[in-house]
Amino acid sequence: MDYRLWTAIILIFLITNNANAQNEYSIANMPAELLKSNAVVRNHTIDYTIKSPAKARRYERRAVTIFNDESDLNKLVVPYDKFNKVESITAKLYDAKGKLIRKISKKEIKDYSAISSFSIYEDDRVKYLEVNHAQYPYTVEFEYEINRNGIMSHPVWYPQSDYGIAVQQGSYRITAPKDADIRYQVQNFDPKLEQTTEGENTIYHWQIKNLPPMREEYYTSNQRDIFPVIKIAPTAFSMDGHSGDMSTWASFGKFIYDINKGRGIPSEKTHQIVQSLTKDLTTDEEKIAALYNYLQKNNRYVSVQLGIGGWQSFDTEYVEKNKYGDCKALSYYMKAMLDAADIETYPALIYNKNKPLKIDENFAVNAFNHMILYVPGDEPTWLECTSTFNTPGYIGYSNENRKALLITPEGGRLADTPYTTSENNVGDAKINVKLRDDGAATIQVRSTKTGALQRELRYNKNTLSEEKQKEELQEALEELPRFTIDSYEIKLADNKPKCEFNYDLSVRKLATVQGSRIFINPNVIHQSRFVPDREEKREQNIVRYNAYTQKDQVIIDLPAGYIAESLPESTDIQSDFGSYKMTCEISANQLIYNRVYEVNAYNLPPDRYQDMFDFFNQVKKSDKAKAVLVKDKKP
Amino acid sequence: MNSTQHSFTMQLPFTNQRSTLMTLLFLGLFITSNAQPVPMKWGKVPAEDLNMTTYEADPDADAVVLGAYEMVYVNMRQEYAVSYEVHIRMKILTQEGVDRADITIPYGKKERLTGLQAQTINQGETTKVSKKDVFDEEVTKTYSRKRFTFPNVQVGSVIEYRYTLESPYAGILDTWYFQDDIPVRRSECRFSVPLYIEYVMITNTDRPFDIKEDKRISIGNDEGRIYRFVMEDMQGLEEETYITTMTDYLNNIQLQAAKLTQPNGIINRYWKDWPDLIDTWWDADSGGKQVKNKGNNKKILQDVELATSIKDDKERAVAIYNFIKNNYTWNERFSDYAQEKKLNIAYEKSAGNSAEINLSLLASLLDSGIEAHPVRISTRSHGRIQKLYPIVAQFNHVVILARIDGKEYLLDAIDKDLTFGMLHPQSLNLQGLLLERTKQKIPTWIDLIPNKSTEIVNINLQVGEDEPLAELTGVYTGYSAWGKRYQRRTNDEEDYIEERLGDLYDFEVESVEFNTKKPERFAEVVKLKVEDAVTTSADNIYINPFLMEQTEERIFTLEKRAYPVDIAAPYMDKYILNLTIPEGYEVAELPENIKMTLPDGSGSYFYMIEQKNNILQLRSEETLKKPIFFPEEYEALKELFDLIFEKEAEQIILKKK
Repeated sequence: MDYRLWTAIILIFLITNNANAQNEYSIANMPAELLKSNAVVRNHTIDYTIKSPAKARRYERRAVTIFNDESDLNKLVVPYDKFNKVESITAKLYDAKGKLIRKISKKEIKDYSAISSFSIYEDDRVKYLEVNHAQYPYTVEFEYEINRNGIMSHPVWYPQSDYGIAVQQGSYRITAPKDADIRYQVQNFDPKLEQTTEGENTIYHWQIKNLPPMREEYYTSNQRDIFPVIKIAPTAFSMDGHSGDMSTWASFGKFIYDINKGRGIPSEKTHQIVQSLTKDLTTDEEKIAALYNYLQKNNRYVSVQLGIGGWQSFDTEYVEKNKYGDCKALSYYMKAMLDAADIETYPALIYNKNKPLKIDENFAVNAFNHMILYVPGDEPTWLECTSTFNTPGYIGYSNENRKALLITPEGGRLADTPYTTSENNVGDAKINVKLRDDGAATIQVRSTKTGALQRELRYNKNTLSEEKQKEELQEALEELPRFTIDSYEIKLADNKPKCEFNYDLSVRKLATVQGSRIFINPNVIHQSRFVPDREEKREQNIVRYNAYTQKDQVIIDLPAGYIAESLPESTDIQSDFGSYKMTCEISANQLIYNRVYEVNAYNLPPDRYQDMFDFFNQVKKSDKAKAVLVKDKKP
Repeated sequence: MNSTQHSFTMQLPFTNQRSTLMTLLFLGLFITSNAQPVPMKWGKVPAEDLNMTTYEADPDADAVVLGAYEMVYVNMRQEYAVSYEVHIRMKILTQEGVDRADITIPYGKKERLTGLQAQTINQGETTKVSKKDVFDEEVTKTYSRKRFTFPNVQVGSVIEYRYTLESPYAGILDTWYFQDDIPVRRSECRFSVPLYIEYVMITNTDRPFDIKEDKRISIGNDEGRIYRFVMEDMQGLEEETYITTMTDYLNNIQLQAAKLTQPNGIINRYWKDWPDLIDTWWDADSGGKQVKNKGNNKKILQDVELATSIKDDKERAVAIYNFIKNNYTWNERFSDYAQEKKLNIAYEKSAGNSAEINLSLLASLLDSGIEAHPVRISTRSHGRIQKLYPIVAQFNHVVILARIDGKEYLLDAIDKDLTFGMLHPQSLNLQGLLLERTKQKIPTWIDLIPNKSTEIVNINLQVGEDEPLAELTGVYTGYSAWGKRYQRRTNDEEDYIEERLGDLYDFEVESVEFNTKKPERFAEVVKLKVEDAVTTSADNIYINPFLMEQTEERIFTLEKRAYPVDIAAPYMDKYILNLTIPEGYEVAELPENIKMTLPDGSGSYFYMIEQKNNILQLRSEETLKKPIFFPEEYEALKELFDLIFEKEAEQIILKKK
C-alpha cells in the first residue's frame, strides 16, 4: 500500500472530521511522521512485577492501528507452558474515528499446541486471537496477563516487532525486589528511564514516544541486534526446583553444569564401545574421528523438550538405548565417549543460525538455541553432534564465526568458534568444452569443493540415489539449455570437509548460432546473477557473514574456421566486498577463460551501499558477457 | 453391548473429512472364502525380512512398508460405532529412511485411541517404545495427535506399531490408502459390517485388487458380512511439480453409509442419490438453512442493500460481489458448510471460511432479486470429483452461479484480487454440482471454466547515439491480471517495479503508469533507459530482443513424468518488440522465424521477425489451450518449452553501414 495515499486520506479525514479528535484511538491523533507504516502501536503498556526468583506477573496492553494486511499485529500470539500461565485475554475493536465497534468474545480465542517442526514433542502451547475488520484503518486493543512460576530469564522487549511498525507511545515498567539485583541493557534507541524505590521494591520505568518505523533493509546483522530493545536479566532465578545465578557468564554456565551433573558419564557399554574402536589408534585426532563417526552412524536427532528439559540433557543410558537424542543428549553422549578415551571436553551453548547474535561479555543473558561440543587443546576441535554427515571439526556456517559459552566445572566461559574466510570455502573448477558449429557442445567439469561449498553435495551423496542426485543437478543448472548427463561422480574426502564433483554433460544448444555468428557465454556453469536492490538512503550497516571463493578455468575448443569478433572484456575489480578477476582470450583454436571470484565477509557502514551495489553489478555484467565468434572469411 | 438400545444414531464428521476419490463403484456379493488369519503376527518378523538389505522391486527405496493391515468393525450397539484396528510394519533400508521412525497418529475429540504399542526389531534384539515416550498433543480443542518415535533404529531395523481407534462416525469411514510415497509390499483392509447397515464402497485403484472377497459372519446377535481387500507390490509414488494432489493417485478405498435399518424396522437412507445429497445440504443448519434463514443474515442484507441500491441488475450484482469480497478476510480454509452458527457472526468478525463468504454473497444476491445458486465443488488440492455416486466427502467448497440477463457468471468472493465472474485457481477443477433441488436422478453439473488469461507485452525500443530508451506496455487479463493485481496491491510502487523488471539487466526507470479502470484488465506503461541491454563493439550492436522478458530458467527439468502436468488455467502470452534501427546501421543477423505446435494442437509457439523500413518487428506468441497434459504428452511439452528457452536467447545484430 502506498504510504502517500494514506497520508492524503488521513489529511482529508482531518479536514472533514475535525470534531472527532477526542477519541483516543482516532486516526486524527497520530503525528505525521508515524503514518508511513503498516501499523502504528498507539499505546503499549507493560507492567512486569518480579516477586521472587521463581515468580513474576506480566500484564500487557497493546493498542495498534492497522493500515493494511502486511503487519501481523491484528493477531495476538501468547505462548505459554507449564511455567507460564495465561490468566486472561480480552480484546476490543475500534474504527478509524476511535469509536468502539465491538468487544471480542472469549470464544474467538483459540488454543493450539506449539510443537516445533523438528520435535517429537514439546509442552509449549499458544493462545491465538485474530481480529479482522473490513475497513482500513482500524484499531485493535489487546490486553492479557501471564503468571510465571519458574523463571530462567525475563522477557526481552522489542517495541517494534517488525519493519514498518511505528510506536506512538510505550511504557515499560519493571517492579522488582531491591535485592533482586535486576540487570538491564537498552540497545538501538534512547528511551527515558525513571528509576525509583517503593517500599521493598525498585521500579524501573521506561517511556517511549513517537518511534518511527524501521525500514526493511537487506544484508544487515541479525534483526534482533538492530531493532530497539530493552533486555532485562535476573541475577538469582529458580525453575522447577533448581536455582541459579545469571549475573555473569561464569555463574550462568555453572547453573547449566549443575543441572547436567550425571550426564555425559560413560556407561559400561560406552567403555566397551570406545575400547574396541580406539584400541589401535594412537593420536587424539584419530580417536575423535573414529568416535565421532560412530556417533553419526548410530544415532539420530530427535527433539523432545519438556519443562526444564529444555536445558537438562538426557543421560548416556537414554541415548544408548534409544539411539537418538537432541543436541544436548548427543553432545553429552559424545562427551561420555571421549571421556572414556581420556579426552577432556566441554559442552558449549551456542546460537545456531546463519546470522549470529552479538554476545556482550558484560551482560549475561539467555541467548542460545543449540549445543555443540568443544575439545580443548593447542588446536581445539569443535563437534556438531546432530549432523549425520559433517566431517570431524567442521561445524558449518550456522555455528562458525561467533562466541559460544563453554560449560566447564568451574563455570561458564566464552570462546570463539572457528573463524572462516573465503579461503575455507573454495570451489575450483576445470571445465573443458567442445563446441560444434551448430551450437551443440559437450561440457566436462572436474571440480573440488571445500567447506560450505561441499556440504550439500556430501549430504546428497549420503542420502539420495544417483538418479535423484542427477535430477538435482538438472535443477541446479536450469539456466543452461537442455542437456543430458553423460557421467556423474561425487568423491567425498574422509575426515576433511572436501569433495570432488565431476560430471560430463551434452548440451543440445549451448551456443546460439545465427548465420555466420556463434554467441557463447564462456562462464558456462558459475555465472553470478546476484545483484542487491537499489537503495537510496540506508540506515543499517551492510553485513555479510558467508565468504567464499569460486575459481573457474574454462577451455573451449572452437569449431574450425571461426575467429573472435568480440570477447568479454578482461576485468579486474578489487573492493572491500570482494574481488573479481577475469580474463578471456583466444589461442590457437581455443577460447581460454579464467575467472576468480572471491566474496568477502564484511560489516561496513551504510554509506558504502552504493559501492556494494556497484561491485556486484559489475560482476553480474561481466559474467553476462558473451563471446561472439564469426566465420573466418579469409581463405 | 447395549441390548436395550432403541435406536441407532448416525454420526457424520462434517469437519473431520479426508479426501475421497473414485472411479469404480460396486455393491453386492462376491466370492466367499474360508476364515483368514491376520496377515502379520505382532513381534514375529520372518528372517528374510530382518536380513533384507534392499527391496528388490525398488533398490533405491529408503524404506518399504512390509505390511499395512486395518480391521474395521462397525457395530452400532457398541459405545463407539466404529473401531479401527491398525497394524503397520516397516523396514528401514537407508539412513534417510530412518526419518520414517517418527510417527504421528491424528484423532478427533469425539474419538478414542487406545492400545498403542510400538517396537523396533533388530537382529536378536527388540526394543519397545515405553508409554512415557508416547506424547499426546492437543493440537486444537477438537483435534489431537499421538506422537512418538522408535528407539534403537538403524539401517536394517524393522519397526512396527499397532493401535485401536474408536470413532462414533459411522456415516463416513476413514479412507484407507493402500499406497504411500515409499513402496508397499502388502496392504490389506477388512470391514466387518452388520447387515442392518449398508455401505457404498468406492475404490480408486490403478489395477484390480490382488484379493477381493467376503463372507457371512456373526456380530454378537446380529448377522453381518466381512469384506476383505488386498493389494500387493505397489511402488512408492512421489510428488512432482504442477500436479493437483497426490491423493488423486494413491490407490485407496472408502465407505459411505447408504442405508441403516433401525431396531424398530424404520429405514434411514443417506445420500441415496444426487437429489438426496442436494436436499441434505439445503436442510443442513450449516448449509442451505444459513442462506434461507433471513434472521441469520439480517445485518448483511441490511448493509448490502444500503450500499448497492442500483437499478441495473448486472451492475447491482457486481456491486454486491465487491461489497462482500471487500468485507471479509478469508481464513484460508475451504469448506462447503458454514462454521459459525449464523452468517451474521462471520460478517461481523469480517472473517470467515470459503462457505461463509460465498453463502453470504448468495444470500445477498437472492435478497436483491438476482437469480443465483450455490455450486458445490472440490478444490484442486482436495482431489477430483466422480459423478457416479453421491459421495459427500469429495466436496470441500461452494461457489456461486449467477444468471443475469441470459448470461451465467461463476463467482468466488474469497480473494481480494479476483473479479466478478472469476473463480479462484483452486476452484478450477472441471465440474461442480449445481445445488438446486431436483427430482432428476442425474443432476446438473456446471463446467468450472477458467477465464481467458492473456498477457500482451509491447516494447518500443530506440537504440543509437543517445541512451537507448524503451517504452513497455503490458496488458493482462484473466489469471495473469490476478497475479499482477496481487503484486501491485501488496508492494509499494518501487518494490513492484524492481520485482517486475527482474535481475537480468540493470535498467533505470523514468516513469510508471497503471491503468486498472476496467476491473478484468491490468495495464501498465513503463518508460526506461535500457543501456544495460545493448552491447556495442567497434562495428556492431548486439541486443537480445526480449530484454527483461527473457525466460531465464527452464521449467521442465525432469526427463520424464509419472503424473500429468496441471497448470489450472490455459493462457496466451504475446510479445511484440518494435526496434528502431539507428541512423547509419543495418541488420547484420536476425534470428530465424519458427513455429511449433503440440501434436494435438493444444499448445503452440510462434516467433516471427521482419523488417519494415527502419523498424524491426519481432512478434512471439506462446499458448497453452488446455489445463492438463498427460505423461505421454510430457516429452512434446518439454520440447516446446526448451525451444522457447533457446529462442529467447537469440540476439539481433546490427552493423555499421
